[in-house]
Amino acid sequence: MKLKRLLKYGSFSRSMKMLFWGYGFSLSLFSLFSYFFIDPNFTALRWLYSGVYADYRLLVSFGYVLFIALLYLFYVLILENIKTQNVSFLSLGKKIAITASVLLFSYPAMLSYDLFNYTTTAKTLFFYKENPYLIMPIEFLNEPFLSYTHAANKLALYGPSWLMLSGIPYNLGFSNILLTLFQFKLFAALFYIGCSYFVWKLSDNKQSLLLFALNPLVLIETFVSGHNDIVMMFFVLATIFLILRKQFVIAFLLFIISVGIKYASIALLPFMVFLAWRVSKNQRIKWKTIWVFAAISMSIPFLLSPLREEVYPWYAIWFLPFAAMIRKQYVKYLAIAFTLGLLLRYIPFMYLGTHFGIAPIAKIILTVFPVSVAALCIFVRKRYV
Amino acid sequence: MNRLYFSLFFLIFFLVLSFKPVYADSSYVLPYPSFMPGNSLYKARLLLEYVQEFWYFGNLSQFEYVRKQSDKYLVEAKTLFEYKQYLLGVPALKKSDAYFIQEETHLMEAKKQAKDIKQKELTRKLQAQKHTEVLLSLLPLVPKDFHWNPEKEESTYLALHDEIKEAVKIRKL
Repeated sequence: MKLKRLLKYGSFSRSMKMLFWGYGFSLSLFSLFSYFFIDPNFTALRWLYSGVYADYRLLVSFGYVLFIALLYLFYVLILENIKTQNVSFLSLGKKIAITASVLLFSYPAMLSYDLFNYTTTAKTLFFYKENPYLIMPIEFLNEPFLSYTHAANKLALYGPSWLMLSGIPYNLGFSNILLTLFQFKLFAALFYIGCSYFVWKLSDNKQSLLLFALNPLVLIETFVSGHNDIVMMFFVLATIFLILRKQFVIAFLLFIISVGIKYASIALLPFMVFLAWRVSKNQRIKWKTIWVFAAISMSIPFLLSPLREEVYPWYAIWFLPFAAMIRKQYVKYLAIAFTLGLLLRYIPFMYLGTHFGIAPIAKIILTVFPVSVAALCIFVRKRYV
Repeated sequence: MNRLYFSLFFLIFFLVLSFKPVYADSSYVLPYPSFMPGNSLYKARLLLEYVQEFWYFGNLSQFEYVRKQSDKYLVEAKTLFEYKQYLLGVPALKKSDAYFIQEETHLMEAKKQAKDIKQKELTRKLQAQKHTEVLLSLLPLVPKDFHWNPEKEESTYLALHDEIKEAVKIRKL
């Protein structure tokens, strides 16, 4: 019955097709735009280095704002129109995958150098066979990655699960830096598909699926920057999925793997215990409450992150899958506005070229502004409309 | 005038005398003594060290491991010598020597793999200086040799000064 529903073919309306096409096209242009950010020390793509990013900061920042605005416009329009579409999950999934995949070919260090750090750490472990928790990459003489990696003087930051998993894309890169970077992106993309699958399975709602899977922040941070947060969240969602199927042992192991990627998911431990207890006792589960509980749990490490360094935009991936499943209009709008604000955090550095001076305050203002406007609109609409 | 010369000579003489001769004084810091043999947690410490050896995989990491071990056992030997526990102190010193010798092997292997060992070599030099300093300070504290005659077992002879001098020799880079 479920398979029938999954395969049930329905076609997208002409306007919806146009919206997906427009979104995909904007993402393609964004991919091209990312090549303005090539690091002059990144020798593999030196022939594409234009210096635009360093020489025309205002223009580049303006271009970035324009792209973000365009992406959010298509995103919101798709979300608003999906209710009227009688399409199967499969065709929707295909559309999402095709739309998102154009970002796979973008320059990875446009907004963050983390992908370089991942490859460097993986090389420390799998090529030099040194423990990255004890040895810094800077200790490898004449290593080409030292010229463009920004954290060569740091020990491994991520958990052991991530170190082991990163061996897959690293070894599939066959010591070619471009191929390795692409493999890391592809690796993140696979987990994105997995996450989207679980969001769909757990919510059984197209809006929730789109709210998560087409969110520009999720797409940019996963397909452009290749952050491992999506991998951590895949294991979290897989854990919940297996708890619901009463496969507690495997669920527990997957949760351990998830915690071993970036540690943040440990905040979900009380949630997981609570869910497992309810499921084992065959008690009714109030899904809205469950997703609110999970979203709040993952917001705690997100809100605590300034204690360590600062709030990074990709941390939103920690709570966004749960926020998408809450199915409350105001949560939806607040989530959209918040992710928009987080993506705007890149502008101060893009324009000023420094993380100091007015940049920290500008970041806070840009993050808070969209969500404040959204909150005000929701309040006015509830009160007066 | 003579008085002035005399005062100047006296001042210089006093300053020269007040300088304490310093042998191999280095900024290298040795760890605090850990659990000593006889302590119930000493075996747990040995077990932990055994497990740690696996954690420190790779040439550079192994170098760090043996360097720390060499330091740890030197401090253990020093403490035991100070408490006149020569029978236990000598094996600790030998362990420290063995780990110190291993350091070079790991560094050479790392060098072959184009790893930067400059900083590690410098650390090793400082370590050798510090170890030498500690070992030389032990010489006046311990007897030249030591006979241990237990009632129902064979006696043991320890040439303590020779052991210490040998350890100093090993640390000459």
